[in-house]
Amino acid sequence: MSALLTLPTALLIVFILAAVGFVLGRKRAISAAGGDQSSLHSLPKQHGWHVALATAAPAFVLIIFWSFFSGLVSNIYVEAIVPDDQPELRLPLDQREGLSDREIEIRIEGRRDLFIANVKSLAVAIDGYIANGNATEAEVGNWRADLAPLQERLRADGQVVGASVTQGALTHALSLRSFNRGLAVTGPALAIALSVIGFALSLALIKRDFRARIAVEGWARGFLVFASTMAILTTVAILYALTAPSLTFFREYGVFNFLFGLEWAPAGDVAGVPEGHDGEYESALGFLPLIWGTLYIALVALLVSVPLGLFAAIYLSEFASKRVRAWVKPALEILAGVPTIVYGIFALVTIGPFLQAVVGSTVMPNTVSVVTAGTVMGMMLVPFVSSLSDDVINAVPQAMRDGSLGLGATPSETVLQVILPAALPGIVGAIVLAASRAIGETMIVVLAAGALSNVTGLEPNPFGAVVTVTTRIVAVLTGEGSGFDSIDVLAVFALAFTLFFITLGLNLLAQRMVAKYREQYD
Amino acid sequence: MTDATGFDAPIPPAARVSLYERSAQVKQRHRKGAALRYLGVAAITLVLFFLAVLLWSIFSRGIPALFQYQAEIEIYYDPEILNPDGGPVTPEEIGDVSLRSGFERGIFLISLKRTLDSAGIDVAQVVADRWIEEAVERLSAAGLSGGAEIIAGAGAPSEGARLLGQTGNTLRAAASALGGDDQAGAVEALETASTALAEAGFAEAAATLAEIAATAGQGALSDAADALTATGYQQALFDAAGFLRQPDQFDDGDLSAIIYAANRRDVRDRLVANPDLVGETAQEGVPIDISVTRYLSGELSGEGQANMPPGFNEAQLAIVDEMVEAGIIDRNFRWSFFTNVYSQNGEVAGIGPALMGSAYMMLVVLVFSLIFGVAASIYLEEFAPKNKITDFIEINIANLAAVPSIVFGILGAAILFTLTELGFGNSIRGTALLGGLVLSLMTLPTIVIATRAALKAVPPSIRDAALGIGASKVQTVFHHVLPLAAPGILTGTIIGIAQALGETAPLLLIGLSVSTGADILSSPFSGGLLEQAQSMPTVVYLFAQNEDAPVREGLAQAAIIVMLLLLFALNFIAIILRRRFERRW
Repeated sequence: MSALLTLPTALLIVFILAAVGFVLGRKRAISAAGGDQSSLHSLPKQHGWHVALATAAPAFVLIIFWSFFSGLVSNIYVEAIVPDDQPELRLPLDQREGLSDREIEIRIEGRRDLFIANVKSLAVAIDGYIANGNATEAEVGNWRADLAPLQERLRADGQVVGASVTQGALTHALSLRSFNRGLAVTGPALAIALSVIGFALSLALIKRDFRARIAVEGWARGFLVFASTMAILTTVAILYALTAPSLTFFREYGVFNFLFGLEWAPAGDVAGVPEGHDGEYESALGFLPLIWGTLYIALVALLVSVPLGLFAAIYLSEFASKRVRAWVKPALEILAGVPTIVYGIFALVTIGPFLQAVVGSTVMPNTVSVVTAGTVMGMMLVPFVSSLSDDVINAVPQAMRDGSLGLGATPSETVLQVILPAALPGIVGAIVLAASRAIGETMIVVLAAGALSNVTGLEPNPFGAVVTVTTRIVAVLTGEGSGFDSIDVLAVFALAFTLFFITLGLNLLAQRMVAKYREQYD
Repeated sequence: MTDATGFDAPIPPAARVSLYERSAQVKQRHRKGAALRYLGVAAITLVLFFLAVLLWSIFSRGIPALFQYQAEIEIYYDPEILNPDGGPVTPEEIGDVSLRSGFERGIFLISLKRTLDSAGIDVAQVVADRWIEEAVERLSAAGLSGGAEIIAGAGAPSEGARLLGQTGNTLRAAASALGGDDQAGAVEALETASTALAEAGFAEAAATLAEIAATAGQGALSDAADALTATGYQQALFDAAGFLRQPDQFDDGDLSAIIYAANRRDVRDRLVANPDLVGETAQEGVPIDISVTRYLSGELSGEGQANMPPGFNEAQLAIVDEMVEAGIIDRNFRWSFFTNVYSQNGEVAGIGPALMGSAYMMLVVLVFSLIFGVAASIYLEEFAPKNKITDFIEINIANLAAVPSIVFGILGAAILFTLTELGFGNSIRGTALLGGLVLSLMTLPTIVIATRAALKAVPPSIRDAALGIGASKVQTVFHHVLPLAAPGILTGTIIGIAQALGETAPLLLIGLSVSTGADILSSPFSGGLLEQAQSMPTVVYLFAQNEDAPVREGLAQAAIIVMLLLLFALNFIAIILRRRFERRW
């Protein structure tokens, strides 16, 4: 019975019911009209849609929520049923010796987590055991853990069982199973009940002057409003995801130590908070070397991209013939469409060795360096700067151009003394946006700026390797990240937090500049 | 006019110049202005040159990597290896045979030898010839001519090595005697060496030594020592002897290193499934070792240590040359690259799961961001009242469009951590579903901006007409505005998807880079979205991190070519759609 009524089957039933509802609703509306369809307020198919939506929509939402929250509820349930005085949680006396109260507490907490994980895996194992047809539900209810073979029987069946099956674990596993079974049946049953209620009510509502169209449009509008809040939800989610761990980190490590620390040397412990002998952190997590590397590379990138992009934009918008424009603009756009990892690899295998060959290996010991990453990133940003500046320059009213040329200025004088000053706020906005991009760029610096995990002080050599904010984020979070429990991982969230606000600030600034400028000329 | 009375002096006649002729000053101003033009042209040229170098760097490395050298080998399923005890072979016994000693060094090696034999390649002879050639070259480089005849006359290469070694020893003895102060002894040692050289057959060298002996006889011991060192005979003789000792050290391992017995597991599985094959032969294409591939493609010349494929020597390359000549090795397009799974070993690595993973993610992005992006745009463009909330939403969308992509990855990582803490386990980590969702959130702003532009482009007259004949607002939008805006929306969506396809950083953070063992995914309807996946950009990243230079440089670029072609195709479709369906109102 429980095996039959799963969420997918419930979903299927709901959709079949909705389809039936559409047909029935339509028929019923036609018959309600009594042969004169124009006497209906809404078209028959709108009545049909209304029944279908009323049947499916609430049940569908319920099923989505249920599939997410039932796991959560089940976890809360296990936490709740395991009492604090559970025999398995006690720490043997000989292990308590020489430990402070806090340490004992941490160990007991650890044993509790382990025990709960055991209970959960045991419950899953028993489920699998029954699913393989080795026992019936009734038999399982009478199991005792002191039967050593129980563990072996489960293992022999290919089930994964935790370290040791104790009586307590078995009891809790069994009650967890019955709770889960309850949950698994309740959800689909509720969904089907909801859809049947919707089905019956909406069918009953069908009358000659029932405003089915208004109701259906209400559903549609509701969905549109929900969809448009996605952007807000995403922002909120990002803010929450960044803020909570960052605040923990700032509290643990100290904002001042983080922002003005000159050394970045995570101790590398993935689990737990690594503490040295004197109770201080072993990890040195100073922000300065990272932001230095980031800004250094961004500076090089801007030094490359701003002149190139600006000159290209001026040429294309003021001097180039139509044909040149038609060919060069798309060619520049190609650069913007190339994925950043391609640039990263290009910097690594082509630009880096080339630069090293030019400046010599005493100045540039590695092929990865500030200039390697900065040059390539600058080239990547050229189309960005040039197309934004192009827009801005084109937005300068033609009257200003004509006026200047009419007074006898040469085209270049017009550009330099009339158009550029007029477009300046917009161009600065474009440069600020490019800077924000350069700071947040990841793959190029990961591949071409250096992969040091420890760094002290600020590297002055433009041909030296540096560490950037994004490089560290990728280095720590790539691989089998464990969770929020390590200070090193928390530090990375603090990095991302800082990065987010720096780029956000730059973006807002740029938007404001461009908007101001637009206001002036629109 | 009255003011002008004080200035009765004759007005100098204005220079009569044509308006069409520029004055010197104007000319100078124009010349100055031309600099701006040149700077623009220079900037564009530089950027286009950079683009050309970028593309050249990708294609020149990537295209050769898309071809693979394979040795066509007659695989002989030798019953003696599969079942040394004799008797019939059971599948269980085959399953127990070691992949390394039984297959790589057993079946594959024996089959390679048989194939070489039947092609008329005598491995020992090729190896010996190659090393003798090296030795002769080394000798003649030092002025010891006639080496070929001497070595041939000595019989086996090892005999030649002994002869050259002994001769070298007499030279060394002479050199050390010259270092002492016993003049007579030194002269004697030099004469001995001279005799030894003459006996060996190096007549010219013997004469040179005799001259040095004469110098030593006059008491100039240090001059003689310098002259002896300058000949370089001793080193050349020892080096040549070393080369000649090589043929005896050539073993089966050196031979089997040439091929990469990658499909040995497949072969074993095939045998287990079909034990009747034992004792039979079958034609198999076995990949050549990836370092040797670089030699075959001409990237490494194979001359000198720097240009030698790492781990190989001249004799192995000589065998490879023979195999190419005999038609055993041929070059094929590497179709398996598109179907194989990722591997550390460049010979068999492929991008199959990555292509599928990327396709699945694009599917998720398409469904998710098309539904939500279009719905959000319709609301904001057509229904939303102008108030604080809609303003806030708009600011949000504009900012999300500029948030660094890695922040979305952090969001994904935080979701994963939270799910783990809530006890959901790590099952969603590195799946196409999670990757697709994160990319969708990232693409959403792009699609919203494009969709709103498309909706704005539909003229208000359409709306007015629909409303005028009694359609409701919702009907107006869904029946009239949306179909007219559809091509624009689709174009924007495709461009958004193309952008998502190349995005790497967020995917790295949600575990796609560690799914190195990802297999070909099952269909999206049977849980393929929830399997460990790879994606094109992350597999490029994995290739770029590989230890082997050919993988790092070749295969990474080959995967980039595939990715760029996909991007190009997507953008091409978008352009076609725009051209075909765009309406000008």
